[in-house]
Amino acid sequence: MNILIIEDEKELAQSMRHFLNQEGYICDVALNFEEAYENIQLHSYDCIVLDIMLPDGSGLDLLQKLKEEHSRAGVIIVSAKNALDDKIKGLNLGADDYLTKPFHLPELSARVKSIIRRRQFEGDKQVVFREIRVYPDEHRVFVNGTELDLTKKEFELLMYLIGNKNRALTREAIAEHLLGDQADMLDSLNFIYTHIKNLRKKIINAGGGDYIKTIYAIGYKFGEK
Amino acid sequence: MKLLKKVILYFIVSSVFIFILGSVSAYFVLKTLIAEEVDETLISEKNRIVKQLEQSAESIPNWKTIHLEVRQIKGNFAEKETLSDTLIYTKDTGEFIPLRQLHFYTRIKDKNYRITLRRSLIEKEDLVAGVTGLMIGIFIATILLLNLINYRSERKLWKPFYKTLQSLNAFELDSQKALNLPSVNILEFEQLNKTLNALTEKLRRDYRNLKQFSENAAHEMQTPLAILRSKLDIMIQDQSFSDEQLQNIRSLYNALNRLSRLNQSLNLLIRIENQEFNRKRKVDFSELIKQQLENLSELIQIQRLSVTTDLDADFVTDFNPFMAETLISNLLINAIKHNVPEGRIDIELNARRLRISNSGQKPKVNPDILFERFKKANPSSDSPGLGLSIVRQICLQNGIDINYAYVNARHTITLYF
Repeated sequence: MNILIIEDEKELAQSMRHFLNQEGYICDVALNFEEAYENIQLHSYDCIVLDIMLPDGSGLDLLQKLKEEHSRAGVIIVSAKNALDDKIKGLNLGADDYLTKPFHLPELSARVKSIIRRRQFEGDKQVVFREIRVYPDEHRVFVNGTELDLTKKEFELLMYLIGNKNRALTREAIAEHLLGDQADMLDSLNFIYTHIKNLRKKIINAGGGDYIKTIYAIGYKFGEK
Repeated sequence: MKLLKKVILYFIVSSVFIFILGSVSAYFVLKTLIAEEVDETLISEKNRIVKQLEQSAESIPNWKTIHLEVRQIKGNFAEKETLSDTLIYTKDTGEFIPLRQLHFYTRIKDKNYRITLRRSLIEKEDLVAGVTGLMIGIFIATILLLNLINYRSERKLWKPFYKTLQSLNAFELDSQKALNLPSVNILEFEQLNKTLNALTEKLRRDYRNLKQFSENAAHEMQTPLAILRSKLDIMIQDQSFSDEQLQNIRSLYNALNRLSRLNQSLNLLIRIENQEFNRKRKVDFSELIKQQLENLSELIQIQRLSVTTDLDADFVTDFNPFMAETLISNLLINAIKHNVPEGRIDIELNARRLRISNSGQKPKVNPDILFERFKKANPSSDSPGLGLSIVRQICLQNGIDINYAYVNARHTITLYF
């Protein structure tokens, strides 16, 4: 899977590349409009992470060019400017998702994964982690063939954890994924704790393994022992 | 009190004194003048009388009327003539009348006479009455005339002033329009307008700069925050950290989160203040509340809160959708956050008001400042304390009155549309 990261802030671009590389994606980085345009002409990408404010142009123009050329790449707009107008404009132009800086890298990773999954063929639309099988579009989860009865948030939590398996995830990153902006305003630790506890219990009760590990002071990690 | 009325009042008060003083002096001046006039008349009368007496051949009999007394006297007489005031009782009118009299002695045909001439003086009372009447007349006429002139000229003269006042009232610091007071041909008002134009222009410029600055500051802060967060996200993937190091990373992470939350809220506040969200659409508040409650349902469940709603589904109003969402979300989150386990939230919505009331601890701070920035019910909390300021700012911009009360262990926030 090829990903193009278009971001004028070098440090941030590198962080993104590093994180997504670890997920097994091949990443190119473009630090300005020109580089980005060149890359788009030369290569074919599955997903493009696009900063709107570039020193020599607007990311929205790039998006328009991509759509004119019927690019098959999914686009995630990343912008410091959480202006509603930009968001609407971007989504209207055909962007698949929108992320506001500062974001959590696992969040970016989850969104990239979701976009790529959505662009794959019908039959592949399931996510499997050992005995856990998830059908994202139908919001159904099976453990050893037994369907789990999960709440909406528990389902989202599981998707997020599987999407970021073997990653240390902070409680804040998880909370923000589940609650969006509202996570900021509430004491979300209790909320996350309860959901993790319930999800773990439901998986174990259905005969699944205990895959959620607590990391001291940080949060959780989902993965094999 | 209008300036003009005040001026007239001062004028009236001071003119009363001036008129009293004027009347008194006029009285004395007039009296003196009249006395002099009478004296002159008496002297010329004397000469006429003396001539007449000299011409009459027969002896002169004694004569006594009010105006003339002639008496033959024996022996010598004083040369001197004397002028004096006197009062004489008259039977006709039954009162004393004031008179000026001239005594003189003359010798006619070897006989000595003492002659007294009298002329009546105008009575004091008459004089006082005359002068007072005249003064009062002038006084009233002056006041009336003054008022008339003022009334006539007020509209015309003060028109630019009232216009300026009107413009100032309508003036808004953050509006696109400058004050632009017109030039007028009254020096004082012209100066006033010029000064106000310059002053408001400076205010507007400063305000714009300040706004621009805070906007840029909040915006520029997002990139370094994003870098920090991404580096920390990568760092915590390292499994070789000791617990102490992890604890330190956690502290860093917490501080970073606080900072980015603060920045986000400030950013939002600034953008609401800058009226970036003024595009309005029909917003169904009852639907919005249901949606938000659904979003928050799991948080509500965790605290085992019970929620009752009384929503008027017909209430649809023009509102910016984003602001409406932020408003409702902030209010509901507030009601959840400051609740107690197994508490309640009651929501009532109709065309007149939205009332959200929830059980909760008594606020530790004065409720009046809860809507101010960085004021929070629990000073030790991590939250920046901007939630309710955002609510207030949204209400302010949409002309909604907001009220908070803590009654019967319940926080109640009411928005009056």
